[in-house]
Amino acid sequence: MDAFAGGMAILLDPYMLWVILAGTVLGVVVGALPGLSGSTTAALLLPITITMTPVASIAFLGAIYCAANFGGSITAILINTPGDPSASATAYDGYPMAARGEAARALGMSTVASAFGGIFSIIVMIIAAPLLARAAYSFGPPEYFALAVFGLSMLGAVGSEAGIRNLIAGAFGVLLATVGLDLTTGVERFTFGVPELSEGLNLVPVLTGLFAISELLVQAGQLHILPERLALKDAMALPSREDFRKCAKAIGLSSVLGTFIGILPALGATTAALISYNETRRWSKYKHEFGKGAIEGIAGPEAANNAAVGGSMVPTLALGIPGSATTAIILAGLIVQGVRPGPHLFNEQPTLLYAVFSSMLAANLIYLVLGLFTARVFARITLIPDAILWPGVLVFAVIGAYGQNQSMVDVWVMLSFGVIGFLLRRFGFSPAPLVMGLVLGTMVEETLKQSLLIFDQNWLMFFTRPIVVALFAVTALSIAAPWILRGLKSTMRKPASLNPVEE
Amino acid sequence: MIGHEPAATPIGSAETHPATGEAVVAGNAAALSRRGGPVHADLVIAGVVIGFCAAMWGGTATFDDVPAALTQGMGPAAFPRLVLGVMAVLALWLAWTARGRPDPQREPVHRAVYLTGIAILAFMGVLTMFGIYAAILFACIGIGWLWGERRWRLLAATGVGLTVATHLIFVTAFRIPLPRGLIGSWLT
Repeated sequence: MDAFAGGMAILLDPYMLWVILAGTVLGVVVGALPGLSGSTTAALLLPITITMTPVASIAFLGAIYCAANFGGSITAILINTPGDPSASATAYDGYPMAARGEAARALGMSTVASAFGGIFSIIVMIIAAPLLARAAYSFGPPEYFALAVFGLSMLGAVGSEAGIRNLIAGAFGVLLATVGLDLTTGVERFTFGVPELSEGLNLVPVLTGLFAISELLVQAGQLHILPERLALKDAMALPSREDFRKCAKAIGLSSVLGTFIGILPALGATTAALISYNETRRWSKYKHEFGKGAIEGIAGPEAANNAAVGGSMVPTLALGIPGSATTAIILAGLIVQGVRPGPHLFNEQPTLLYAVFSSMLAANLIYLVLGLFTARVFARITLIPDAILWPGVLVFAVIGAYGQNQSMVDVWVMLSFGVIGFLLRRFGFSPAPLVMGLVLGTMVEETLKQSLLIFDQNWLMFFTRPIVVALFAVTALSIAAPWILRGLKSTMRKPASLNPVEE
Repeated sequence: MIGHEPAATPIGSAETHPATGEAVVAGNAAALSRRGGPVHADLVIAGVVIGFCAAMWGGTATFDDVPAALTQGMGPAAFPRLVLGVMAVLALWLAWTARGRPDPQREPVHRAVYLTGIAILAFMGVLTMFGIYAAILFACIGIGWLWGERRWRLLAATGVGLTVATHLIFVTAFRIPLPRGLIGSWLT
């Protein structure tokens, strides 16, 4: 109870309130800017957060994460281009609504649904994270190894060639985590004679390069594409009673779905939004309206993508396993600050965790107010020319990479990973799984080595631990599930069917 | 100026982008999906990944030897090799399942990407020689011009504004040292 009160007390600190407000405003702004997602911004600002206290750092990044998911809906609705990938599904119905002059109504529903989903998931996080941490308190190295492998295996759960590519990228990330000195023997691995690499790859320049610089290069290739912008003529419209009645089920269902998907490692807000869109349509009485401007088509995905934020923080804080790419970055920030999330943190620093909960709750309330009263201002953010915006991103990225160790090697590492990230994206790989692998890689290796020491190098002893066996089974299922489902679908499909399979 | 709304560009218009020389496309064009080349792209990707794994495996052979008594189980090369093995298996899986998937042709890398890459290298040269403030001006004016912005006053104002903001935020507020460049270091 003391820890809870202590955590809530940060909202009385003007400095913390300012940090949360700044993070929320920044989150809405970058979420609204196509190309600059919440994860890219978190990576860019990671070097600044290192100068803050751990509480302020995670409150700032958490506020950005919460608000960016909402901010992406602004551009999704007005220019059919989601500012954040998590708003992809919002564009399906948001843009048609805006095209027929209902942009204010669409944004109003987006704001309210986002806030509801976000607040719901934070309440779940407050309850579930301590419970999960308590359950994990008895975990040993074998259980953590199995958990980390399960977390990485979820990268393949999206199915088809995207799943295989994600797994390859995740494995590459784990390999990158081996760069530097082997902790057990002191042998240098993959340093290629560069002294600065003996302590391993610095997370900050790698993350900044993979997200910010790669996106800069992608944007360079899209200069000739001008999005059609629809004006937000009216002030924000609060959803009517009729709209609330129509969307209540979608918001409720999507909040639960988004929270659950967020809790599963590696999936995140984008997956939650897309699955929620399909489920909202499936359960709606107005299926025929979807794709043409259905208000439920906005309410569902927006509730889900913000619900996934709180959900993804559950495994991140309770187990040290990131629930999404952005939480992987937040986790990296905490590791750099010397704070390792996990069950022991709930015993040793409970106030820090409750401070995180209260700051994310405050961020949701702040962007609810911002969204309802200042959406027209944020909508104009989209008018900033790319030629003005992206050189600034480059400058911040370079400063961020340089600032931690005052080393130009880090800047070159950042640029190299920017090129790697661009090439990965060009050939259908996503940088996010690589980040997951990089953040989890050290944990995977350490827990494997510790487990083998415990088992006296007998691999089969893993299967004497029930939790390990259960996690391995779920891992196998998560990798195989997309193909099993596809096989079942093709077996059950009638030969003369003309209906396309819904994705 | 920020807030200046560009004129709407109707579909089929003959306007060209100043940076790329290409016709400006209104709307959010997606890459067309056409049939790919003679070899499925996934096979090429799988081959590259397997080649990379082979090269890195060779790299593990260059790790220093550790006496068996000090190894305590897995040696320094064991885990990287395990991961490389997993990557290779995944690459084979990608190749094996390639047949059942479409192979959309990718648009060639746009010229602006290469030019931006060269501009970034030039930016690094300015940064190394003259320090961060000169580099900021180069980025805002040079890369902004490269990307098609022709309002010189706006570019200059952005450069100066960002330089001042950088100093205030990073040096004054967060006390993060910034690169001074070779000439800056020599002068001080």
